[in-house]
Amino acid sequence: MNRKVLALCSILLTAAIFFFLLPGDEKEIRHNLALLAKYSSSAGDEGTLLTLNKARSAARLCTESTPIAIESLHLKQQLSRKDISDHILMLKKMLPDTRFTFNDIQIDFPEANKALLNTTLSLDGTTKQQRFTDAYELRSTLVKIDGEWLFSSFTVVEFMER
Amino acid sequence: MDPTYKNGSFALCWRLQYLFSEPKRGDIVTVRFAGRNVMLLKRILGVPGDTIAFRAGQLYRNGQKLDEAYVVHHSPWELPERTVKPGHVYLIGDNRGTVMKRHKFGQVETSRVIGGVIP
Repeated sequence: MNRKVLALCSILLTAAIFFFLLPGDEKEIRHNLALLAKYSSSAGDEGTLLTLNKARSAARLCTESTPIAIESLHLKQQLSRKDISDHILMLKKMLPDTRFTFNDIQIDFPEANKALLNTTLSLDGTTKQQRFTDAYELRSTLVKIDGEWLFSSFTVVEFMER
Repeated sequence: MDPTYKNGSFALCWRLQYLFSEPKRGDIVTVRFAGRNVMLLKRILGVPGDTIAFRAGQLYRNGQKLDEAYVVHHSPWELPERTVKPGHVYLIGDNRGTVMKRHKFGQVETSRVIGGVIP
């Protein structure tokens, strides 16, 4: 009886280790999404060097050429990592005290080394001394290149058509 | 949805409202805005086949001017006529005091309508 219990506990423990500790594709993607949120967020007193580093780090999470689409603005652009970094710097200047978070994350793997992500991007910050919050539905694709998951496209979904 | 629903007030979503019926004109509904948790409260102005237009801030549905007693403030909105597509409803808030470009409104797939509102 004791041996059986011990064997069962060993199996459960091994399964728990695999599930919680070993890396997986979904875990890595969620981690990269959390990093993207961290690098995009700004505290009001952030120094120039930190801001630059964050913008560059965020761009490095993306592929070398990443299409961005904002349906409500009929905007579709192909951005390089440098362009992404520049846009993030502009965004940080416009929203100097803003927190980015990603919630409601759904990840699918339609094929090997490709992932589809649906998430809600929430913004919470201050601009011109006024507090604001906003939310957007975001769709993204990711590709695995050299063992690393990178964001390969972003689409801000517009579901209301005037 | 001011003044019908004030900012900071509470409302409950009745998810079963459209279990056996379709959304109707005038219904106030909860719409899934982003993800599973971010919702909007809007009023249904049009159903599939209806035409919607704004002229000098007044709503015209199927060519007829509508008397909207629930709208207190009007801004001079201008919107050319458009037709509500099949499987869609046309939604708008009651607070028309803002400029049109700042107001979130338009037609959405009916599947995004989560339910009715109580009270």
